[in-house]
Amino acid sequence: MSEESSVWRAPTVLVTVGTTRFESLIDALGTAAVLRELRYGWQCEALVVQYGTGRAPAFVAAAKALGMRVTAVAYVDDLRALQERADVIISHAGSGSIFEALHLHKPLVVVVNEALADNHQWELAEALAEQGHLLAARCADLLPTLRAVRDTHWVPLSPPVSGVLTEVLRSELWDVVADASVPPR
Amino acid sequence: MHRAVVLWGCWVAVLVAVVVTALRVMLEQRGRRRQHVQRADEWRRRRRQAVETPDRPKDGCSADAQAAHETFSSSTRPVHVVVVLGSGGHTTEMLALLRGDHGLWGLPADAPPVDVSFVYAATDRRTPTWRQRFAEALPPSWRVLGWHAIPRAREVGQNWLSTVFTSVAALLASWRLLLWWWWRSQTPWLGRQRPPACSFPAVIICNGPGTCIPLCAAAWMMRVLRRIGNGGGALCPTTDRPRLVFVETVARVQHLSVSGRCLYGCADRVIVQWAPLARRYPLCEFYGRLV
Repeated sequence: MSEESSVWRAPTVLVTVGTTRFESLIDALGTAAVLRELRYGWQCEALVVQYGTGRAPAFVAAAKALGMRVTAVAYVDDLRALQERADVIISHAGSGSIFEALHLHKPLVVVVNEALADNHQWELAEALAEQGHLLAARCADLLPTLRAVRDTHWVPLSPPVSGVLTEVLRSELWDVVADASVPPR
Repeated sequence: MHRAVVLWGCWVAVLVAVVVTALRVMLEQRGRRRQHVQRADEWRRRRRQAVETPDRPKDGCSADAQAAHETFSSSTRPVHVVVVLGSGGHTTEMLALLRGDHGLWGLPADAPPVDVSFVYAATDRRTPTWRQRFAEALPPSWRVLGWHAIPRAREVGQNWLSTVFTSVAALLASWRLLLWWWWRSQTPWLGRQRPPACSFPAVIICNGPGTCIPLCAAAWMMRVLRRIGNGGGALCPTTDRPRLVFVETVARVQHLSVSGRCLYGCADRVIVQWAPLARRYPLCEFYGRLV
């Protein structure tokens, strides 16, 4: 569709930071420019924020003034229900939430936490962004990334290879498995 | 004439040996078949019983599977598989890994029953709440043997001096766990001859939480000791247990994790999920993304 960019809207947006804290993402999200982009660029109506162990988002009133409903929760055990309802997911770079979102074929913006000591999360986000599955950003360039979401061509994630673990177990257990028909002494 | 007797004698001896061996094989086969028939009868009886008196299934496995397990484990030693769960993302990924293999259905139907033990970090509060999910991810004939917590070798952000002590504590806990399994795998000395409660772990599967390092180190040391006890020699398939299977997390693209680097030297299988890793480390197997 050629009108896709003009028709594109994301009425429900999910922001998730996983089990730990990621306050810089929540702060970056609360800036006026980002909120305005979400409201008028994406035409977001409902914003669900899962903020982990950090402090609760302070931009609820500001978002409400713009006409966005904000639901803030500290932690949900089953993120999948929220992910299924969302149109776009903004997530931290944990592999669990990245792959859960990608398996649902949702547009995904991953924000890397630079405060972590061992920053291997950037590797995963970058590798997946190179293949076009998601958009990777730092907190500093959240706004330009959000602007780019509309014009991004999303490549669906290929299904994982299955049966490898079974094959490995079979070859590691071959002698035990071969012994199965021999009666015990 | 003398030579003829010796020759004929040889021929007769060979013939007798062949006949005797054939008879023994036939007898063995008959015995084996009889046992299989008995086992099948027993299994049907137990299943009927289980259907009549539906007991609470143990840790999520069906009554049918329970009956099969009890029947076959009395004659065939079950295989014991240990799955190391970490904290946070590692647990989620291991669940996806077990589920993604269609619940490990691919093992042959005549394989012995499988016992699974789960090991997790003692400080992890989320993993124990996922028991039901893990029980559902396993095939119904697999029995969950137990959940064991071992202390973490290092908390996030812990300084390196105190890490030495916590590592030793974690290693001791792993030894204790392995010795417990070994003890349970011995036939009881006193009383009736009954089968051991479990068999010694055959495979340890881990996907890279810090918890797996002390356990795998203890298991590897135990393997070396047993090898020496057996008088050295080549890799013996039945005694070189437990095998260590390490699946690197999908989060690692360019470099192995710390636990991956520790286990790269001593694991039996190292499986990675990204091509750059496989290019960098030649002893890693690469099949593709697994979760």
